[in-house]
Amino acid sequence: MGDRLTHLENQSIYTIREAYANYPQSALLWSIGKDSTVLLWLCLKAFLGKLPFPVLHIDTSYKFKKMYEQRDRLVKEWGLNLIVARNEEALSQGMNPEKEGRLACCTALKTNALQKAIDANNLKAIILGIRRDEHGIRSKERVFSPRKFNFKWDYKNQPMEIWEQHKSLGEEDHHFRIHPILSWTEMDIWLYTQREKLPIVDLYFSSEGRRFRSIGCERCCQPIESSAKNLEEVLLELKTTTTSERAGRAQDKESAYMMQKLRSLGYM
Amino acid sequence: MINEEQRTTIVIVGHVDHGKSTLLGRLLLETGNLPQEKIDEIEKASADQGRRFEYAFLTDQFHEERSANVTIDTAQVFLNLKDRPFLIVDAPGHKEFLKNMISGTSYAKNALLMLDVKEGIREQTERHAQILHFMGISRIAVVINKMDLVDYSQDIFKEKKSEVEKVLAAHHVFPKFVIPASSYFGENIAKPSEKMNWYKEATVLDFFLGCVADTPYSSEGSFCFPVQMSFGYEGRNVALGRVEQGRVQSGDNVKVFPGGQSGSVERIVRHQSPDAPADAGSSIALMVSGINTFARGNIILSSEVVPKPATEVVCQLLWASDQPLKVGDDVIVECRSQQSKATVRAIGEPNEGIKHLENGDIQSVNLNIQENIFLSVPNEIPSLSKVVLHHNNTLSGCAIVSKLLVLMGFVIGSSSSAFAYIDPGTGVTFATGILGWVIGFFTVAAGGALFFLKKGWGKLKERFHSFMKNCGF
Repeated sequence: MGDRLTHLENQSIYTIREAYANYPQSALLWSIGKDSTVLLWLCLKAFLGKLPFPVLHIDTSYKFKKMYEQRDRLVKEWGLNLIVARNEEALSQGMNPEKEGRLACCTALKTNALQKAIDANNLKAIILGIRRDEHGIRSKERVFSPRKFNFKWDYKNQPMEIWEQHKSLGEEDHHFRIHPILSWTEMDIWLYTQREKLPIVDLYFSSEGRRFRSIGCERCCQPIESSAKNLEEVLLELKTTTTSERAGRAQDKESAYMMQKLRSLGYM
Repeated sequence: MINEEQRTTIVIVGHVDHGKSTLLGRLLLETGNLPQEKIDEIEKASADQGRRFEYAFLTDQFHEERSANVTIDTAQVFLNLKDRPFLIVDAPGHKEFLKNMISGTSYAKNALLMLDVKEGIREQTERHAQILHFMGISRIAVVINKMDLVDYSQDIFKEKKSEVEKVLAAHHVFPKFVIPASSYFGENIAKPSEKMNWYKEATVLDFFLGCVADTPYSSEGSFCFPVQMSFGYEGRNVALGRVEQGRVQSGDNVKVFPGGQSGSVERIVRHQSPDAPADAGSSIALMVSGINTFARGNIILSSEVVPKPATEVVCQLLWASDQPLKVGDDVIVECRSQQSKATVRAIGEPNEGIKHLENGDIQSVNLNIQENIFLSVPNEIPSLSKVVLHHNNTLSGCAIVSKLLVLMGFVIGSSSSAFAYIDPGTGVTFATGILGWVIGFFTVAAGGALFFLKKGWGKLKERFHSFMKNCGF
């Protein structure tokens, strides 16, 4: 019972434990952003401070410097088993968003790097921090979302999910994407970050009148005009904002249905 | 202050193209829950398809949904109404997407049933009403939509209203309001309609604001804790899980099933938190003195509870698969962390002669469960009364246990076996496996005698007739 955040926390911990109990070959996808950092904290809580699976960082090499620093600091502090996955082949050929466009860049450096890491580590479940309110396409996701052998998301034929019970991995499935914080909102993430005093990259806070509301690769993120210098001010700003969270994320809107294309290919 | 109160979940259901997505889109717009860039995006996407502004595009995000004008999968949308957090579930209305519709109804207590005033009640309107009743969703409003197509006529509304109420009553659905509306034009959505000033009751927004917040757990009742897994902690094994009912604190006496080993709670372990009691809904770890072995599927109960074995259960089943379920089929039954193989013994009442279930059917089903698992009925431990059925490796149905039958007699002959089950509440309910029926007869007679002592001759005769019919006589 109790408040909404406590309920969400309990529900997410339940999901994380279901994931690991059913699929010991799990890994947590951590981007060092606000959502997957909340998710990482929930995983630590689920397993009483001792994470039984690795943390996977899909490194495009184009992330903000502050994100790499935060990653290395928390890996030490929280005793994490970190796997860094990079598509070295594409990087050595000079892949970047300007070269062949963002769909190609995201697919090569994120989706393909993830696929390789899943195969190399023989993972059956990837625990990741997407949320339904981030994007309309993500609002249709399941908590346990199977991916086929071609890594594609069969979004036109998703399995039934009810009472937190879900389909089990079948022969036709390659792995599960497990989304424990699917029903958290952006506001919930910030309220929880505040309540739990979680470490957060300061790119989210205003510097010279601008801050990032969503972070990823440096080249594809635009800051928003904002004077919010700390968590309290970010929360107040969110109450009155009229723009959407991922407005500064270029890959979502290069063309219509870009997110659908990306996700159907295996993007997060 | 920013509130942290519990969400209110409302699911929008109804037949295809009766305006569910449009209503939600219109409501989002009128209540200031839409960023300008989303409005711009919809304007552009609508224009690209040569159409007027399509509110439905706000939740119909797939290209296929927009071009075919149909919702394929459930969308879950979070919004604030008068500073209260809401979760609105936009469910698809097509029969082939029924599993998607069901996925959206899990924990909702409130629903909006949409109806096109010109089309009236259609196949999925009735089916969705049945599903709302099955799911225990009782706070329901009906929206008679597209009133603009009938010039906002009060007479036509009255006619449709009484027709709808009659049909819904047959499915045990009793709406709090029947609202005349036009989703597209925003009549009676977020504000009272001037065009239908003859209607004085709630708008859709009024209904939403009167809905009850989600309360998924109750700390009333006895403690119940299904074990998700065993986990090593401080040189011991603790049980990871969630309190499904009741509450627990250190010192409480508990039993672990199956096996019934008893112990007392030594500590409630949470990350970086001191030992403190845990209410229903809490995800915790239990350290139990005297017990160091737990397994997934164990159920920890407060020591005064005596669980009934769930070998033969009767449940209300909602089937949601293209592959039919037949009598004799093997399925996997799952309830929280417990799993067991099971066989479908019977579908419906014996005299109904139902041999199989198709997508969307709701029926009473008898299951024979092979493993030693622990189920309950809704008024005892609700979360252990909800089970799902996997069929051909697909989650294909969900069911609510209505009865747990107790094995009364079991006889094994040289070439046959027979057994009879009794429902402790009403008497012999089910008997099967009668190959050498003579032996079977004696077994059933034993059950019958007991029933006679309990209920008298008249009831026994009634039961006997239905039993004989069931056996094919």
